[in-house]
Amino acid sequence: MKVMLVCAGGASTSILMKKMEKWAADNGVDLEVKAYGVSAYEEAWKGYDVILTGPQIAYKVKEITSKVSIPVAQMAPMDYALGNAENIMKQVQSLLK
Amino acid sequence: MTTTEEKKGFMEKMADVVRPVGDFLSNEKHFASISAGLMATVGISIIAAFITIVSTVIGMFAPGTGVLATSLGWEFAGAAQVAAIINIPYTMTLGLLSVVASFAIAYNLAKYYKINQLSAGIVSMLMFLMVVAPAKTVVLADGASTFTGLDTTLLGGPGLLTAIIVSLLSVEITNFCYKHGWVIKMPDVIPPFLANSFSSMVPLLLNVFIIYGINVALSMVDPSLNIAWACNAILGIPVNLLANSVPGILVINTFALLLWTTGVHGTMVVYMFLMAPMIMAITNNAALVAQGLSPVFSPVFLLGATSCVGGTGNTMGFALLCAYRAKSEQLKAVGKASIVPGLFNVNEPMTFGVPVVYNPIIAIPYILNGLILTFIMWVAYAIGFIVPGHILMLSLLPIGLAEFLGTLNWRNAIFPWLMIPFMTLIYYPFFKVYDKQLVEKEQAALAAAAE
Repeated sequence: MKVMLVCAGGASTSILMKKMEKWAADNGVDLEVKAYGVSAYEEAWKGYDVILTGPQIAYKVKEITSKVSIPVAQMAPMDYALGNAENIMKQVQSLLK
Repeated sequence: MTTTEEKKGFMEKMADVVRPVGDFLSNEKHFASISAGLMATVGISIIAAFITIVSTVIGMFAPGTGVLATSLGWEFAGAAQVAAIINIPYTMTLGLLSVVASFAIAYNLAKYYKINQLSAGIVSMLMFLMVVAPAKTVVLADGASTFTGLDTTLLGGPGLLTAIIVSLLSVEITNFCYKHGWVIKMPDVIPPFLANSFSSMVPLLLNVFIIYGINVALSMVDPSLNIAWACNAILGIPVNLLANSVPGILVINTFALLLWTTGVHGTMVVYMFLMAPMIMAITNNAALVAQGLSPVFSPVFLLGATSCVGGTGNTMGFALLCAYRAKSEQLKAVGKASIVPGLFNVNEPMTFGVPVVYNPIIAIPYILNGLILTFIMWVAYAIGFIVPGHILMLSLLPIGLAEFLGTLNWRNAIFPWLMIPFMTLIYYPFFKVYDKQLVEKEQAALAAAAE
């Protein structure tokens, strides 16, 4: 499964990226996750299964949705803040259903 | 869940006012293109900054002028010459920043209009060069030989406002041509790359006619007038009012922090507008330092006061308070998750975990400390404790590092660290109140679960 994380500059989502990678390794889940800044997702989204955005770019969700053909959703602020990989993976699963 | 219900009405009312402004500013195509275009110059400016640092260090060994040569006797005879050689890649990158911007802004705006980006970029860049640096032939000192060259004065930082206006205007003209079918269309058998090069011919012609025409018309009114003068006069008014005045920066910083409390990335929004004045102020200082003069202060440098101590809202100390002094489980968990990112000036875990967003109790110190630090920083510049930057540093770096690399001054590096206790103190009373509220909520939730 390939998950794209998008935030303003790709810095804070890269913290989350590490946590999700660790969670996937611990739980034996096949997961590829990468963090992008809001200016870079458009060139890179093809090949990903889903895009999750940081809550600080909520105003960009509509624009992102219009430019890609994969599911896009905003992460819950608290899951994002604490890097709760388990909850975020649940969200990914529900998006892919 | 985590917001205080009784004040939620106020926060939401404020969000209704502030948020649409932020949404508009960050999504409007011209502003977004300026921002994306200027971002394209960041990589260049970082390499230029690296070159400046190397040539500054080598220059320290120059006999007679270098700091290390005069103070410690560490001389290196060819230092000045080597520094001059190393400086050329700097002059020809940062010194041409506005040329790059004139291409990149047009390239990005063309994307919104869905017209050929490459030809829009090329046309815009040519128009910019045509109006700010027309080739001139001068007779050299020997009185006989001549030299033809481009005046580079406005090709770097000083021409940035002109580059912005010319590239936006140029793409509008180009788009007008496309929308009205004023392009030479080739039969389908012609390969696309060839057809594209023909399609930019009419837009370029009309661009020359209008933009160069305006330039010529202005110079006919008075030889000293031109588009660059007009752009600086028009854009200079808002820029001087907001970016080049301390009260203006206070307003901007407040706005950025207010936006964050409604969940919009406020610093990114205001940076779109302040990137140009910031680049101009720093490249101006770079030129001064290269001449051996002192860099000068510009109010736009106070922009960093909102976020230099652990991310926006200067939350480093607040994160430590949460991690080690909080009684509520929520703040403890958020605080611990926020310390390491905070050292790198990243604080989204705090913003969305505390949360700062839609939280009136924390919004007060969050905004207040940025304003107080703006003032302290201003004083620190005024008394010379910290020095104005002359190297463009736009990347996210650990606390103090960007300040050091931008100035090569150790006092700038320690300044944000010195501010941690003070910033913590501002958060403390609000942290206490909020932590107590959360503990009560957590206990109520536990009691409810036990029943």
